[in-house]
Amino acid sequence: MMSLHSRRHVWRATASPQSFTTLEDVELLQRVAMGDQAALDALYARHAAVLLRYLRQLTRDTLEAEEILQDTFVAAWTSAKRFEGRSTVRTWLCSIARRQWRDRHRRHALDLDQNTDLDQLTDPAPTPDEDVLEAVAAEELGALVERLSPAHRDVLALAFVDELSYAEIAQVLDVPVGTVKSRLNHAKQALKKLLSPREEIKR
Amino acid sequence: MKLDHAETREQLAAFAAGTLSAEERAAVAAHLRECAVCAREAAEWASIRGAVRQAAPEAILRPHVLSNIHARIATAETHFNAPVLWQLLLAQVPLVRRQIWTASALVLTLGVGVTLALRYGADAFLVLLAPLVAAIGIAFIYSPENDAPLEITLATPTSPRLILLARLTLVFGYNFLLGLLCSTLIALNGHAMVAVQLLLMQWLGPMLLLSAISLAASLRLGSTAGVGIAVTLWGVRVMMTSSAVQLNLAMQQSLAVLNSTNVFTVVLAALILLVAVGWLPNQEQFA
Ligand SMILES: [Zn+2]
Repeated sequence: MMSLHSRRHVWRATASPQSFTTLEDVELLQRVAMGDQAALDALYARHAAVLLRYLRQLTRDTLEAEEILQDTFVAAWTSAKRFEGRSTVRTWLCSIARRQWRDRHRRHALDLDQNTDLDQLTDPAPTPDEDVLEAVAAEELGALVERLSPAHRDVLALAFVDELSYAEIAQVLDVPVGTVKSRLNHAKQALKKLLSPREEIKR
Repeated sequence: MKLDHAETREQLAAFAAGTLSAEERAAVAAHLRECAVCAREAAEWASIRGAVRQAAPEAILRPHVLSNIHARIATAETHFNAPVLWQLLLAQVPLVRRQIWTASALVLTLGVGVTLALRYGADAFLVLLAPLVAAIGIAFIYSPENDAPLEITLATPTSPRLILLARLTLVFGYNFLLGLLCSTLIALNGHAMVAVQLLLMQWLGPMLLLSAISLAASLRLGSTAGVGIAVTLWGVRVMMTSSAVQLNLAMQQSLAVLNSTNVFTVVLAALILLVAVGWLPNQEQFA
């Protein structure tokens, strides 16, 4: 439609890409809500790489991760008005990405969100002789991470790829902060289990 | 800040991720110097951090992803989300000539008054008035030659077609609601032995059609011409409906079709509207 081109044009003319670098995420998102596509591009430049890494971790497939990344920014474009500032923009984008992914994999989503029984278990205290993780090369450990359950990959990626705080992860996953902590610990235990199955059987 | 063993253990993943505040970081580091168990676990988390980042390597953002997003946004935009449309509508309220609101309301109030005073032919009065009032109002919604607020509107980046449609929705919606209100009043008073929806069917189709014609004419020839054409057409229609004029059967039938709400009147009105909006000059010509 003609209007859209003109609208975009006006915005481009008033806001040079340089001025975007000084804007906060929230301000950029406000502009996105008003239909400023250049502001969306600026948000993309800031967050797309991390989101793609996160999605790559969830999907284990680069092409699918790219598709969901598209879905995420299209969804962000249409729902920017509904952003209420209760989380950071990055956390909000992670939530959208995760929701887009979950919508594609309803079946996975079930075992992802019904993982709570796992969360209820108490954390096993670390035993001093368990230094297995440190001894293993990052490549090998990385391959094992890919074999973890979606729920564990999810929480680990949010913590170490997206680098969200516990509270922010809790917002994305829509669970209490305590659950985030225990889920992280269970992911760690699961990783150890994959690494030393024999040791686990002994216990 | 001081953390004990249990508190520190909870923070170790965040410590490895680097998401703690400086103060929390210092507190964890202080405990790690004293506690071998936590120090070992912190090292484990550091390994895990490396492994997770290894498993999700820095991906190259290929340019097609962003261009696909742009393409999808462009197509998604044609269906505007409701809040945007609503804001556009509200923004038009002060820009539509104030006289339109009061004139429509006055005339229809008069119509209802007369209708309630008369015992017979009560409903016919409303059926005759409502479409004409709407059509006259619509002739004034968009007249570039004498519309100061229009220039302000055009300075904002919204298409004139969209503005036109928004105003059309407003004014037509207003007249429709007025007509509905009047129909309800008349039906409630029991003067006309008709139900509201029957009354509505008598004026809605003609209202659509006459409004579309009035809009098309006003866009091409100006508001005055739009009003003139609408009044003339409506006058002809009233004359032909009155028993004074002799009509053959075919003419009577086509008049009956035009005088009610049916697929034909709605489609015809929509077509006229499409042509009228399509005809609208481009933004550049106003600027
Ligand atoms: Zn300790």
